[in-house]
Amino acid sequence: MLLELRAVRKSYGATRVIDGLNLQVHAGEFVGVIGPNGAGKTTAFGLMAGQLRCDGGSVHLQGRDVTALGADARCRAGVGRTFQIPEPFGGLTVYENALVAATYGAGLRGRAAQQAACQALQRCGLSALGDVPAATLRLLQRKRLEVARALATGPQLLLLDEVGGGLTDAEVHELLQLILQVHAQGVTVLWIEHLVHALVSVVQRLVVLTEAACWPMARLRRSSPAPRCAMPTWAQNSTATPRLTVLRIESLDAHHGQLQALFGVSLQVAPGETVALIGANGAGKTTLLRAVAGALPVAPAQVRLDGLAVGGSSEKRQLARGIALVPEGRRLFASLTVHENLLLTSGNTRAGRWTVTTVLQALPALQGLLQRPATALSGGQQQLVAVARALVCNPAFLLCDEVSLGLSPLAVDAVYQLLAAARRDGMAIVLVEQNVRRALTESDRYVCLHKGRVVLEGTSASADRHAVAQAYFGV
Amino acid sequence: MSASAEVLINGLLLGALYALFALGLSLSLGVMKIINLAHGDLIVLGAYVAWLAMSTMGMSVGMALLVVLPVMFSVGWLLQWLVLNRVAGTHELSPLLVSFGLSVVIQNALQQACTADTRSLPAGELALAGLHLGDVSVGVLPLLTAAVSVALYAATHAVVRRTQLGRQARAVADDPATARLVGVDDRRLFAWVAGLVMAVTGLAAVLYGLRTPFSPSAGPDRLLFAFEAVVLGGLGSLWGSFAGGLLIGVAQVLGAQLNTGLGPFFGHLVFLVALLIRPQGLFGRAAA
Repeated sequence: MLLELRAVRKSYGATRVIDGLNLQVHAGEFVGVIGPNGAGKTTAFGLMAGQLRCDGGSVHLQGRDVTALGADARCRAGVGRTFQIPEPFGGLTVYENALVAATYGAGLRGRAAQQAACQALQRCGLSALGDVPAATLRLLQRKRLEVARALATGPQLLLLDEVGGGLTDAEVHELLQLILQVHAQGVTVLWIEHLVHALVSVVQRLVVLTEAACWPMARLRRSSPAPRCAMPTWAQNSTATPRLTVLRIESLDAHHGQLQALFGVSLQVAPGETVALIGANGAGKTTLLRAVAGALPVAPAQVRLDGLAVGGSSEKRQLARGIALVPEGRRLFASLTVHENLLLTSGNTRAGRWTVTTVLQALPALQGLLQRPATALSGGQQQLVAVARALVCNPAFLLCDEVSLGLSPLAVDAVYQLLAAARRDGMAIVLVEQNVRRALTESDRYVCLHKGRVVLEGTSASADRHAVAQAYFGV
Repeated sequence: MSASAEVLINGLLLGALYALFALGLSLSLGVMKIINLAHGDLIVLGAYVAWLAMSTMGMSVGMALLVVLPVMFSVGWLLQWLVLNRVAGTHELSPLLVSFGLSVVIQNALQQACTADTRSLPAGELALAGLHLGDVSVGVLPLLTAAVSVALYAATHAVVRRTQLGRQARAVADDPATARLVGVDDRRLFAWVAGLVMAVTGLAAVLYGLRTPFSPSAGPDRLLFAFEAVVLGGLGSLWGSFAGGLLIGVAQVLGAQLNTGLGPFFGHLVFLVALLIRPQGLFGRAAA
């Protein structure tokens, strides 16, 4: 047994990310790790490589208990890892990056260290770039350097964290060949990857980490009857007059640093309509919402409200125009009470039905908790506050990012009840939801993103589950 | 008995002035995450503005305050809007370097404009007025300074806790990206906070100038005392900064009793020892 995790636990504050994880990896295995956002995949790697401390349980490397060892000691014991976002030493050259790893990770000196560094670069196809400062590398090269640096530490176990993210298909293929070679040379590989199609083509075994309710892999291929879907709510009788504004996203490109996250995405949201954005991690859903809400710089013409180019405005101006975002992870202000979190927006609200008073009437569960610090509430209650904080601005378009993530089924229902109340007033909602079944049930239309492009869209009620699953995973 | 009580009281009163110096620093650190190395020099600048108003225009202290407060508010607002907002969020070191440069500029500009001579603000009768409480005699001016310090801390506490400005400030300090999402304009907020910080600093400067002679190079020492008070009290704790100021003040006065020249040294000593015992400061939260 090369690596064994026994009943490992890890919490961040009150959030339990990993609860009793058992995992065994034999020498020479090639294991893929998949799971939804927030399932604790990267955390598990941190616990294996020693960047994070276990709250309970133990980690064993070749039968030896290494739970108490720090990251440096584990590296010398044979664990190499790469990071989701490449973090080379930018001021050093490519060669020096590998040399540092060979010297301190593998404990080599002088000529031996130089040889190990050169060898690692050669294996990763970076020999020609040895003298280039690492900060100037392109993304694929950075990912290669990330692997090279891990290899130079002479690992028995290589932990790869989403090395395929942000790469083109051809680049992913190149990287796959490299990793297969490394594995063929006797290194055990554990690989977290959201590009499931790439992963299943190479690994011997898949491990699925789950936390919240999500689409179980086993049901992927089974086509099931189309989900029931409510009438488009804006078509029903409503006491409030809907604001007749159309949100149009046109050929939207967006970047995260070097990484292009969206490639010419176009979609339209009609007044009062609910649109579900679905897609795997890294598909660009969050980026799309943030770009529309003004949190990312985009060209004016790429976001239009009733034909008016409004892209790239500040968040405050988008809010005034009626676009509000409920960010992923709730993001309540810990120094403010629940009540203060709601009052914060009071200077920026548009006229409408939702005020702090009416929103609290709709959420009687919060009545007794108003003076508590916002982050002292349960996850479900916090999510309600986060939605309420956006509702009191009376937006015409409410953008909801992962509002059910990490919540109990009961809490998820409460959040969707609140959203349903907002819809009854004619508010349009753009929903990012990992639970595809739920996303289709709650929406009028769906748009499926894959690696920054729209790959499938249609009416939620008549969605073909099989086609959606294929589009979702890009297989 | 009465002698030691007098030392303690004088130490507390001096500490209240240091706490007042620390208030602005504590706020800009807490809300804007900026360490303003020119803070001490801005205190001295405030004192010079008051001196100019009083000596050249013959104003009284009260009239001078009417000049100093708006001038310093504008200085803070413009400084933040035109200079510090541009570097905020680029790199942690940028505001530090910019304010260090500003410190040099202010010192030299003051020396150029007002010469290196030591000045003081004419306090008139206030300078000598004293109160006798039993055996202990206390100066009226230090007492007034302490009262202003307590009042300003209480007012700041109320603003931070109860007003929309305070809520926005706390939200931005927690999570600036999300604060923008709920419509907080952090740049505008920073400018207002910086303006208020400098107005408070201007008031502290006048009280300081009435009490102690000052010269263009006096800034760095004021910064040091204020900084020690903030760190000693614990970053992010408003009343912690107040307590930190008091502690430094008492240590300095006690030290000066032992050896007249060693007052500031004892202040630094207490600071170091306290930090060894409690690195997160008196009221700071321990790092997770």
